Amino acid sequence: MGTDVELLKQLRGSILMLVNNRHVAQQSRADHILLWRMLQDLRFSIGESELITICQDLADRGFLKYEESRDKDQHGRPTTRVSLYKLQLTPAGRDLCEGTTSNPAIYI
Amino acid sequence: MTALQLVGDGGMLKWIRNLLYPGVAGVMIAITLGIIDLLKSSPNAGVELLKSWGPGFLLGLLAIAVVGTFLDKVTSSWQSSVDAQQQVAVALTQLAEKDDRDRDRMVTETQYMMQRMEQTHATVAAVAAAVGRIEQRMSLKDAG
Repeated sequence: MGTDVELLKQLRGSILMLVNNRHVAQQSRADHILLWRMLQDLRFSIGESELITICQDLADRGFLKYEESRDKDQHGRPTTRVSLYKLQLTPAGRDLCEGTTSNPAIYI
Repeated sequence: MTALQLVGDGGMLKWIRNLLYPGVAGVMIAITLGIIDLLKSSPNAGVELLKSWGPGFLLGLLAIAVVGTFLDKVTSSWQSSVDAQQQVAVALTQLAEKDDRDRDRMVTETQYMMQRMEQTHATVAAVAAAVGRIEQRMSLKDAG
């Protein structure tokens, strides 16, 4: 349990750092699929739904914002699958990445 | 230069023929295109015009058919070529965008790894400094 919590804190920090790096480099805002791929490249073992949950958690904490859409099936009916687009940091998220502030729940 | 030389050698005659044939062909195409336009805009007037030509009527129809078929083939070929070029352009654009996305992703990941390495380096340096201080205190105690 302890390890899971530590990993979660590490993941939160890594997500914020990756999003911040793209912002600093003036790259296009990532979607959750791109973020997921980057985390996998960096050897984080994380599922897609788990990543979405963490992003929602970061948004709830006021560090991250994005646009969300519910995918549709072949008949045009909304499914339970959610996609996150245009991920970007809030000013509070940038402060965290720049070390201006800190949060015990997030390892930067 | 006699007329026989002109015809026999074929020099001047060949030159005139080479000049004449494309000219006549061009005029014929221009006339045919004009008739096609006329037939499209006002079919009755076009038919009347062809009839007034007499024996040239059938020739005119033939020319229209031949040139029309030729133009159709040229247009079709040209359209195919344009379509193919568009498909190649789209494919190249997608490839370039994919390359850009991959490059951007790698840049982000590399920056992240460098940041983590710097953090690790700072942590190791801090630990080394702490160990150094402990060693110094221990050596002071031993000396004391």
